[in-house]
Amino acid sequence: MNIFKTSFLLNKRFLGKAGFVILLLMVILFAVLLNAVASRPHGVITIALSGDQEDPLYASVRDRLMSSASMVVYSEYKSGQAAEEAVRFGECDEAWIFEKNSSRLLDEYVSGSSSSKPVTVIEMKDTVARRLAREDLSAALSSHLAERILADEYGKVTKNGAGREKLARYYSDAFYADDVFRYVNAEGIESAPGSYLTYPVRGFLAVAMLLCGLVVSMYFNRDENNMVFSPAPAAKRPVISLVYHFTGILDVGAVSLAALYICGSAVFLPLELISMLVMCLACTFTGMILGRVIRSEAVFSTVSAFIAISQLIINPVFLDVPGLTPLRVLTPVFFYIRIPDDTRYLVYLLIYTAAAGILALAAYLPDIIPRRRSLPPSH
Amino acid sequence: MTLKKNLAAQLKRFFSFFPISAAVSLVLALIVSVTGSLIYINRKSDETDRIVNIGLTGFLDDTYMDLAINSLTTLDSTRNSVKLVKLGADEADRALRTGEVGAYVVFPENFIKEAIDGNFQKISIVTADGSKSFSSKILNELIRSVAEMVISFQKAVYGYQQAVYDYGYSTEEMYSLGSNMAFRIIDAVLERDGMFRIQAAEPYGEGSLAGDTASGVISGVTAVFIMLWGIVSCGAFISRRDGLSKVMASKGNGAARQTAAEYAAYLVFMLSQILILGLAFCAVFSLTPLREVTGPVPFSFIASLILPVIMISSLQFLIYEASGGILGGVLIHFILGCGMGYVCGCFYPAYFFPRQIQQIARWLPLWQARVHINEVLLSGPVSPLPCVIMLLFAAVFLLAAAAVRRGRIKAEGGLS
Amino acid sequence: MEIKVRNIEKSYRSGTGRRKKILQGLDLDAAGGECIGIAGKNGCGKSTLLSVLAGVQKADAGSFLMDGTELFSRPRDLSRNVGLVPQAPALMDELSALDNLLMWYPKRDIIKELDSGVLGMLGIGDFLRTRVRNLSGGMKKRLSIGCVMHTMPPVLLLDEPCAALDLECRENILGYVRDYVSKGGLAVLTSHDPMELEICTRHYIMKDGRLSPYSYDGDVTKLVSSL
Repeated sequence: MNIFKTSFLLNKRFLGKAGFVILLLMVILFAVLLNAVASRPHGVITIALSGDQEDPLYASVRDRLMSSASMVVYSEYKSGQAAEEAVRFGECDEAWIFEKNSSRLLDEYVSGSSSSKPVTVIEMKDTVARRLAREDLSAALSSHLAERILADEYGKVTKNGAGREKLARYYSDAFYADDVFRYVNAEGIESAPGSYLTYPVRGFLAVAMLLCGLVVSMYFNRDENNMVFSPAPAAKRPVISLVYHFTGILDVGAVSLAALYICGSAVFLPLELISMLVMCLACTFTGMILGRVIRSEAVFSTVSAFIAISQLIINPVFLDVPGLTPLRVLTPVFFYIRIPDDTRYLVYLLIYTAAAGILALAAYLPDIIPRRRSLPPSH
Repeated sequence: MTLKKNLAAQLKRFFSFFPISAAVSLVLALIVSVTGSLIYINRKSDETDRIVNIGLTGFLDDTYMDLAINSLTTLDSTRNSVKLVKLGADEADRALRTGEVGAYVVFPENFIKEAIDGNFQKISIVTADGSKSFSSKILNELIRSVAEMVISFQKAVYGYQQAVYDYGYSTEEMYSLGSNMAFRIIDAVLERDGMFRIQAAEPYGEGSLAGDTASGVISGVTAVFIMLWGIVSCGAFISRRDGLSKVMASKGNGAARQTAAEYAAYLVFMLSQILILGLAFCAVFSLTPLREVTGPVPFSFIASLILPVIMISSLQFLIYEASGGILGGVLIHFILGCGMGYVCGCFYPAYFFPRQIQQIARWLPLWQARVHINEVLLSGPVSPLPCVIMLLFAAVFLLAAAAVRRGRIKAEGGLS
Repeated sequence: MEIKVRNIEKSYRSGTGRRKKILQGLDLDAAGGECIGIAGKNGCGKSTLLSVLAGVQKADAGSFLMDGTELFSRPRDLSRNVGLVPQAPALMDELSALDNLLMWYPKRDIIKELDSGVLGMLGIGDFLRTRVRNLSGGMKKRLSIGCVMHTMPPVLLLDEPCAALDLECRENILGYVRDYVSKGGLAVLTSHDPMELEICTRHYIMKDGRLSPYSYDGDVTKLVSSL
């Protein structure tokens, strides 16, 4: 029994199943759709902005807000009333309306000479996204506020104060701070901009690969029960099982890799290829172990449901819930998700795979080691 | 074979899987509640119920920056959910990998001094996923806002010191005035909401698409959970025999009657599963510290799942009917359930998606299920429209399943 | 070539959780050129015996000697020398007959065997390119035998080889078994079918996990009462 030939034929068999092909196409379709979705404007909250175009404070804050890559989507309206209507009709979640003379009002706010506020916020519901957006507004206003506080304090300790322009120079000369941040991963590498909408694809596909390992295991058990591999020596079963599992998972792995590229979630090709192959092996061994432990299809399907749900919760697929690391290391999904941003996880995945391989081998030991304790023929 | 007899037989068939699935349900409830309890206890002992820790590392010795950072970590609306922790470089790296911190911020060496000298070095925000996930982007947004404010106010303090020095104050006086300025800055940071006049808007019609996040997540996850729980029945569906369908059809039990009997049995099975799961969660939640968070799970919540279960189980039935086998049972359920759940706002709130996608997603089954469960969770009035749509969906899925069955019986040369 | 099967024991955990002994110290002696027929009630352990002898399942105890060599401790030899044709054809439905053969034979051997060997005798060439799921029961059974014969095993175990097959198919398969035996092979088949039992040179009845010799004379009523 030639391993490569067996693998080729098994592959032919899997791809001969209409359901399997539809499934692979579904993965690709999902990636294409998600990529299309992520290319449209989206964010956690939509803010209606409005103010006097001539007002320097409004113009500066608007430019700062609308030019930054943020999870808040800004939409400018011609008048405060239009912005308010946008909120009331559900087009936007909140409106920030800058008063006509917002610059002067901010001065007065700092000096405490007036109770009028430079910005009116029209809000609907109090959500986390709203709080986040409000901090964005505070940050955008902070330089203006700080500059005015500087001027106000300076005026208090000097006889005649100083001109606004001169103080503004003191403020801006303190130090230059434009484009303050760099966003890096654990290896200090700046990440390419990407949408949070396509980020879950990697985790989602990793769980799908793990489930594929279980599905292939169910098929393998069924074939074993039907004695499909009975003509092969028992000692060869682990090899057949390995080839069988790996072949099935590799198909899903290849499609997953394509899906990652379609979504723009893939990184350096050699790293992606290596991690995908190791992931396929890890899922192969996990499937082999579970396949040996669970022989009933009913139990297997129930366990599959359990694994699908628990993996989505435990791993940082959609949300990263802290404190779950001890549970995450039970399957290869977590390591695979983290590899693009921290290559140390590839080493962890290799260790996991080696450990799973040893366990899988142990699970097949009764087949490999011939039974020595046979009674003498004369008995 | 009458419809009644067929139903009884199908019920027996499905319920032969009940002990296994009930046992797994209990284990799942137990694991979720133990994990949840451990996290809850862990967080509770950590001063407050903060959601996420952010590490600060690098150059943090500047007095004014320290003041500014401390001012931002004090209690106010946003920072209630964030805790800033000062860490060494190695500690920060380890804490990020173990999940103790969601991100850490690296201030370059001599950050302020270098900045004053005109060498502004960028601040690094380090996240485990390179700022690509939703959690990281939220964290980045928060950190960026916080740091932007810190830098603005630092510039004000240093600019002010320079200005008063140039005016003629001595160095000592300059530092003293600088400190006073720093305290005013802290006040300004804490009172920053004072810049806004807040006005509540009354919605016209449906109002904003943004919903209540907590109940939205629970209802969304519940809808996907029901969908994925269909995988449990894989064992029951793959043991069906097509030959039996042909024989039953010849005895007057056509595709429609077969579908009706099998679906009814499957529905009872799914409802009982969800009931068991619901009761298991209620029981273990009431026995663990999670009761302080969730309170008693209302009966109305479990009751609200009936319509979604009717609709989702009919979709699951159609998937099994159309694809059959283990593949359809596990992988198609997973990919369809997660994919649809994702765009329907079951994992992230729907308003995170582009508006056009939201409009399309409104017509998908899991959107309707989520909306219905959410309404019940919020104890508001239950709109009839999602209920009607869910029943319509169920009817369409069952008709499609019957059509598939009829086609298969015909293909095998049977009477349909 | 001769085989000696000694004191085979095999037990299962039953649905109630108790262990049920299905084979209890079973012995069997046979030689090449013989066809052994084993009859017995459903569930008496006939299929289990064949699975154990083919190494698909492990015996709890006992030995299987071929010309003095213990085969249970030599899985490779066991696999090469013993072929099992299970009751349900052990094939991959989604693949063609040729693909199923390719799992076991090198391609050039298939051509040779189809031309003048076992595959040709079994008539597999008629449906070589057809998918297994579209084959009839008889074709599947022939293909199943064809797959097993890739090592030309001197011992062929057949589990109810003609169950649910029409007369022509039965004749075809039994004809092959006869030919195999006539060339010095040892066939062991389990059966309830008089037509199958008739081609056997020796008969056994399986009862209480053991084999008892039986002299089959074509009288089915007598056979039934002996089970």
